[in-house]
Amino acid sequence: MRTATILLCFAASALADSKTPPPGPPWQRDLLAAQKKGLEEGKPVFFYFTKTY
Amino acid sequence: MLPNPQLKADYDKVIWVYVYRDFSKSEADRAAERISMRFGVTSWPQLFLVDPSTMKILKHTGRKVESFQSAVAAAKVPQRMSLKHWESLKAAESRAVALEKKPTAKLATAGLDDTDIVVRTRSLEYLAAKKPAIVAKRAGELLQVPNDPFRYAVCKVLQDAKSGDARKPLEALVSNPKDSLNPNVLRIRAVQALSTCGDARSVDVIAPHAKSGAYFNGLTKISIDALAAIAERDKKARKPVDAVLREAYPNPPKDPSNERELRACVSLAKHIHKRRGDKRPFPDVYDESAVTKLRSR
Repeated sequence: MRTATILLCFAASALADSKTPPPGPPWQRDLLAAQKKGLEEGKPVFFYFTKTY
Repeated sequence: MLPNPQLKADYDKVIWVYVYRDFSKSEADRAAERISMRFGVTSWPQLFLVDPSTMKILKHTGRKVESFQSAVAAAKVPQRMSLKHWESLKAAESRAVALEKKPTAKLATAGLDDTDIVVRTRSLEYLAAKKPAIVAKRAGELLQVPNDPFRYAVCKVLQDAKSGDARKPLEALVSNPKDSLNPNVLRIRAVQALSTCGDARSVDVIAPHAKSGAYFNGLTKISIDALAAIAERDKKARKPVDAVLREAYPNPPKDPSNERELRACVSLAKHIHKRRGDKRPFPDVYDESAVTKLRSR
């Protein structure tokens, strides 16, 4: 039971790791919104590509 | 690199976009796929800065705080930019989504020449499945489009179409996978296509990859298989292919106690042995003397 709980927690945290952006920066996922903001504010757009592992 | 409090000062210097793919083909995954296509991303993770007016990659940031900060400092974009760039991307996204939701031959045929790479790729996906001859006919030109997912898809069409007309542009791609973010995979796709489209003239182009001895690189085995397939089809290729395959037996690992290396090396050597149709028994011990014997006629 304990092993199963630990495995479940590990699996959940691994899933959260890639699905959810790392905490800190003001992330967004919408390309058009990001481009518009970059154009309006004169800033480059930083893309972080990841996937399910 | 993230999370890291040292990056706080950079939060306001760029627009942060997180692109996550789960390959579920859900709405969110398709949107992430379109962003990946736009920049030719086919391996992960990838981190880079883009100019919002051109949507071109300015700098790859690396995965360290220092490399990220120096890339941000070097990435300059105009301070005043027109929103016409945004309007144009918005329209392109609509065309791409239309092709996802209700593709037709007419839409896809026109879309193959669109100015937007995502629209072109969605059109190509449709034509590859429904009208592959249209794609095969334009192989030379389509293989030059500087976008990896697009060229992977063209290679697959050509592999299935067994189109001899595509031999030259495929060979050019193997020799020089220009503008690729993932040249090894692009070479793999082009060599796979040459396995059905190539002939004796393709042997010299594929040979360096077959005999690289790189037993951990998928390109090595795929090149060996492509040469064997060409030799089966084209009599003129048989002698030169056998000469290459003999040279392709990899050198044994420098440290024979490294089991992982030895296993991969022997597995490749056995594969070559089989593809050559060598009737001699494969040696029990794969060392330099065994390699010398296997390479002899």
